[in-house]
Amino acid sequence: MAAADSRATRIYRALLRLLPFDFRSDFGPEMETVFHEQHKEAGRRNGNPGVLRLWWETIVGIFRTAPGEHLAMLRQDAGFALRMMGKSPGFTLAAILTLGLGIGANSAIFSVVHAVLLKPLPYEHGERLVTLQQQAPRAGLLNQPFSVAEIRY
Amino acid sequence: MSVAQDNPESFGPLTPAMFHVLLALAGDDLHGYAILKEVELRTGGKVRLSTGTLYGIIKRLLNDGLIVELRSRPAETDDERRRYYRLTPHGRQVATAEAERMDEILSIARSRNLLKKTRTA
Repeated sequence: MAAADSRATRIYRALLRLLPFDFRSDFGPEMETVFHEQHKEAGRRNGNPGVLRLWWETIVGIFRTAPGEHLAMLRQDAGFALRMMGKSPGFTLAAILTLGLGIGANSAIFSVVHAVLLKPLPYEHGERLVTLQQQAPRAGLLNQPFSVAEIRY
Repeated sequence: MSVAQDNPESFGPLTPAMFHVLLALAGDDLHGYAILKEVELRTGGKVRLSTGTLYGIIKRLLNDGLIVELRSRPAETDDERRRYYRLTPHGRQVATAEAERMDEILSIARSRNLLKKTRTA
């Protein structure tokens, strides 16, 4: 029974990880204690069906609570960030310009790399493309291209 | 707390679960598990709060100043991980405003013969 309790607590603790860190820090240990008591009582009063019902209600409860709590935390953090930005407009402008330039430079470099190295050639079997060159060392000609007429005839 | 939040009626309508938690704490200072049990008992098992729902509500009620966490523990022998909560005067006003709002709705329901008239002693 103690092993089952401990397993239930471990699973419940894992479930709590769906909640934001701040929420878990504030209420996690207490929620574990309450769940432990609920689990004991559900088993004592209604056996396995009671325990299964408790798990179902608990999982649904956590899944319903978690999105709202994450959203509330995001709203709180965004509000804090906006207030801080309003207090130091110089720093905010510098940060926005730095980010803008950084993102712009990255996009430009990626556009070039993509066009030159990554993007396939605009026709089929581009991998079969070869370069033909001719050599005439005695005449002092090295790596000379062919003319169209030389290739045709 | 903002001016709008000072007005007890600005909180309503509360969610049923939130109102049940306020009602449970209107009777006595309680810890989380006792709140769950009280709600279940008072509603004859019709309302069963999960821990996720309960602590989501507790967090909101604490933030809005409707309840406070007690620093002292009612019983020294109690499990020290338990935290006790108390309804604040403002929380009581909000619960009263919600009860009055529901009472008005019930009066209308009675006047339309949807509910039996209340019997006077």
